[in-house]
Amino acid sequence: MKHLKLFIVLAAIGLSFTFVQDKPTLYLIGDSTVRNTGRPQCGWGEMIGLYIDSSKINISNQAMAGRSTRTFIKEGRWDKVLSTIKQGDYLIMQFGHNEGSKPDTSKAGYRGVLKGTGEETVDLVWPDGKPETVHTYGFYLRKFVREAKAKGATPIICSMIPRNDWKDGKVLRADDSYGKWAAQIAKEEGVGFINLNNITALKYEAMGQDKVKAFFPNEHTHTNIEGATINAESVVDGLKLLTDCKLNNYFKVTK
Amino acid sequence: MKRFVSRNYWLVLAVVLLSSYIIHQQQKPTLFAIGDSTVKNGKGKGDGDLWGWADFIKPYFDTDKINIENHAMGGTSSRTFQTQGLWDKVLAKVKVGDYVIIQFGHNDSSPLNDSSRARGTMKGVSEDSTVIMNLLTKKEETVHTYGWYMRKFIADVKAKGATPIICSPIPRNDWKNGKVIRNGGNNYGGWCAEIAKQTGIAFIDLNSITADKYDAMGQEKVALFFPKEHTHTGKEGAEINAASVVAGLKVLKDCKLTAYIQ
Repeated sequence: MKHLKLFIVLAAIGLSFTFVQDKPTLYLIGDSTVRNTGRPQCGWGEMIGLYIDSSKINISNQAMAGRSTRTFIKEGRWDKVLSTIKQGDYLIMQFGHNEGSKPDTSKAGYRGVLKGTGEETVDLVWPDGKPETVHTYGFYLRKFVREAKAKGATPIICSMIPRNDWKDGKVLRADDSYGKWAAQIAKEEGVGFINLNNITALKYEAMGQDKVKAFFPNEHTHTNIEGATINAESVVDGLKLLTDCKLNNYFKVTK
Repeated sequence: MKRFVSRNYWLVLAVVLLSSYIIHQQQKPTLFAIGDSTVKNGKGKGDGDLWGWADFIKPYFDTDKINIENHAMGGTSSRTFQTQGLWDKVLAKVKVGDYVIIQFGHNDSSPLNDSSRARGTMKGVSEDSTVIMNLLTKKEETVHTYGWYMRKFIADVKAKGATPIICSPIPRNDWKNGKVIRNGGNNYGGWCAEIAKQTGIAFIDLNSITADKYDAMGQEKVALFFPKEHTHTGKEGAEINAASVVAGLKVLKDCKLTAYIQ
């Protein structure tokens, strides 16, 4: 009888731990447009808590300003996410703003990646003798997707937020480059794709160039808090289109 | 002594570094924020998923050159922040060259006298006052106008050689005809402006700056910034208001605090 009581108490403690651990986590990885500590700039990941119910799911924004897919991995940031991501978690990735330079070991090229989604590589040697093999944008996204899946988590790819660049009254899209490649990897790997670039661009076009200008306090890439809020909403708009995505069970119920 | 120094080189170095760090911290000016729960909610750690805006102004400032301290207290009015001794504690820390941002109003419209909070102030900015037997403290108390208490903060700060700045209260999530209801005119926001003008100090119309943003975002989206009710914001709403405070600071002419904005 004594043992039974002890057993029940221990079982209850054990169960409560399981319950606490069972709360899944939504990880965000990306660049400064996802997390930006330099105010007045703000990343959309900092505003996504408006839409996601944090009493049911944790939000862990691991994005880092200035990083490309290449440097995010190189600095051990991805390994850090991988070490904690678990079965039932979610991973939203958005990269593309810092990939554009020709990959080399210079001040300009240290974060650049090869364009496209292929398997080609370029071998670099740093001045200290360390070798580095640089891959394509698609290769790195594939790595994030496959390694997250291997942990039992659900990866989702976002195209990058649009810049404040216009032509003939339309916002310039990334659908000839990083947006296209992001979509392609999502399709090939069978994971959810959010065309954040297009969803927000459509909103910007509806608002008009003058209003949109107010979202960009410094230059054409980084938004302020209001711009981040719009992009967070766009991410959620995109998630809602992914009808099979269980992350949609964690939205706040609007009053 | 020489032997002590050579034997305890690291200890001496640590003491020197620590004391120079402390002196450096003390020499830096400090920006103090005082106000109600919309400035600092609870302990300022997201209690109940609610946040005040002064917990989010730090990233805008060069904190190598200025300290930021949030001393606001939830539930207080311009009156009870003083009568509960909270102001005296802050004032004791204020030194020449510091800044104090003041935002009250959300709790000033409560009853002047009751047995629960007794925190209301008389409306307006006049010198009117009334004597009450305070049902909470069980003591006689002279209650003044909102303007009187605000002027007291300002005079105290000025007497210390520091710079007071007034903010109108953040807007509530209350709408009329598609616009956020403003707190201007014959209300706390309007009185703030008047007090600032009377005393010749800087005024940030936080109420209007944020209300303009809310109008642009629309009622549906703004509702997300208020997780519980119409007054207190969550983290994201506090971020919006912090940005508004800094935007309001930036347009102030002759306010040296702007030099510390990154």
